[in-house]
Amino acid sequence: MDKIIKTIFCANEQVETTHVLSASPSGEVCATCEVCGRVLKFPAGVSRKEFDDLVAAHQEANQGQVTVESIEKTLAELADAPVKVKEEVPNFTDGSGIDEPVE
Amino acid sequence: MAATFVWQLDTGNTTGSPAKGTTRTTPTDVNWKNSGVATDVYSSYPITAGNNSFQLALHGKFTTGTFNNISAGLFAHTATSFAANLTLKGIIAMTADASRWLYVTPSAAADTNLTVDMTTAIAIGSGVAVWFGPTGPEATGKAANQNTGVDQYTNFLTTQLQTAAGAAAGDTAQVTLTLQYNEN
Repeated sequence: MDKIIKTIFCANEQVETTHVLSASPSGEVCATCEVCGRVLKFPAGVSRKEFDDLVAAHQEANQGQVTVESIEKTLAELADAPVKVKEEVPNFTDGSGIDEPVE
Repeated sequence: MAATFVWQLDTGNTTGSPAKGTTRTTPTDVNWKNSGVATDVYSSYPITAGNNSFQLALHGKFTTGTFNNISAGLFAHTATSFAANLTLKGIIAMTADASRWLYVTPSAAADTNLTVDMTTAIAIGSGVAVWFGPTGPEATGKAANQNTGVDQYTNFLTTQLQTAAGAAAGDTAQVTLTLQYNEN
């Protein structure tokens, strides 16, 4: 059986991508992004017009998201070179990592 | 003293007009589950792969502190993304009083009014706009800012976890949902 394809905006990719349409066990329409695998669901028995309206609303509601992952990627690209930061772990076994109470 | 808020959760059948849940609790954390009863333990009500959780109708209630104005509310999933085949859906941004999500008796059917894809952790600055009002999350009269020091409520900050057939068994990662606001 041929794949049933629909172009839908992907919130994760922030562009329109091809989605494969399938049905969930309860008959809902599942649209799976072919780029990232993200799945969108639409009600069982949705009409073509309702589907198109929901797809349009989905795009409007999700454009412009800035993911934490993309921020971290940008910062990494701006850096000179990766620097390994040594974490200072307090030593609680001998009391040296515990602050003395302030009088 | 700074404004502080608590998370509250509406569950149960609709009651009143505008509708709210029959039960309102103040949880410290919440779990998406195959039940709309606040006291049901999530591990006893798992979401079968391919199905959806019941909606979680959260909101923020500003209960203590003194403040002249509260504004610039934002809501987003800000830490720890979900695994494959899991999609978190949430409310749209408030742009008018009529934008607010209206309470319905929670169910496992995909809620088409939860349009925002919240699966991935995002910067809080690109979260959805949240508005405030003095009566309750369900009430009309929400505005982007409120000039009062009495109790304030956000609009409903509702989410639903939707799964695909390939979703792995077991608990999801623990994620962070953030409500940010300005006060003065």
